[in-house]
Amino acid sequence: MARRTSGGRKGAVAGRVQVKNPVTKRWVKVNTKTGRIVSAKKTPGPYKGVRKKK
Amino acid sequence: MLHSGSKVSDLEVAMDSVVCQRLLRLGNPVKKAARQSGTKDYLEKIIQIIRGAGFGIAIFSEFTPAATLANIFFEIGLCGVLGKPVILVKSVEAKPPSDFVRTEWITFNPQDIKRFRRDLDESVKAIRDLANYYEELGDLALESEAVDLELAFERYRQAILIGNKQIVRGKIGRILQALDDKTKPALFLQASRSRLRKSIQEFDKLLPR
Repeated sequence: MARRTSGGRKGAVAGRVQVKNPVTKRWVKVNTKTGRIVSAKKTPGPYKGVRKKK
Repeated sequence: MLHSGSKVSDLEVAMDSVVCQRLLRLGNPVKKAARQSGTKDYLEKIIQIIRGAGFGIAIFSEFTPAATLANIFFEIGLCGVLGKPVILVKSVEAKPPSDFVRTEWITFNPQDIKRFRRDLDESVKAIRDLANYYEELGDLALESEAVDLELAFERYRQAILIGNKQIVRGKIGRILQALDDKTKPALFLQASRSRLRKSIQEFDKLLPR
């Protein structure tokens, strides 16, 4: 669970998970409460502070 | 997706032949509208083939007639709408339409068939990985707090059409179980559940045993 400290966020954001689309090679953020895609990353690399699906 | 008839150039025949050989080698059966028999409307047949396919491959060259190009790009559009990935294969001299300038192509160069095969294999592999991606998205939809069974089915269906993994077919069974849940849903949900159950059963019937 993410929490704020004086130096910035600690831990991953709750209710979000990210998976990589192998065709576009971009990470996609998913809302775990609804299962719907929230957004896709426009630049290479994963989202910061978002858990990756195992 | 390649134009049919007697005016197909030698270059396009060579492209088609290499692509088909490669697909079969990778364990992907090839479906072409011209080879499918039936009495239905030709366009309807094309739509049904695309609906039942895991992905599409569009092939064209500088020799492809304009009318055929229109058909090919219409089919690419259909694939896009139906969520089917498409591998675009063109000859060195062929120019893609402006909407596709930024799209990745596999270029067929008769002087370097080895490279073409490698590029095609990589693209097919990326699409196969897409089956796992859709499976993960299906799992997320099925495990979510506000379960969306339709969304889960849509994603598992994509995964099955591409990869046909037995484990994913089992997950569709879980959706059917959830639909048969004893708690009676609201009246307006009953109709939608019944429609979804019917769609799943029809889809399951079409799958190879």
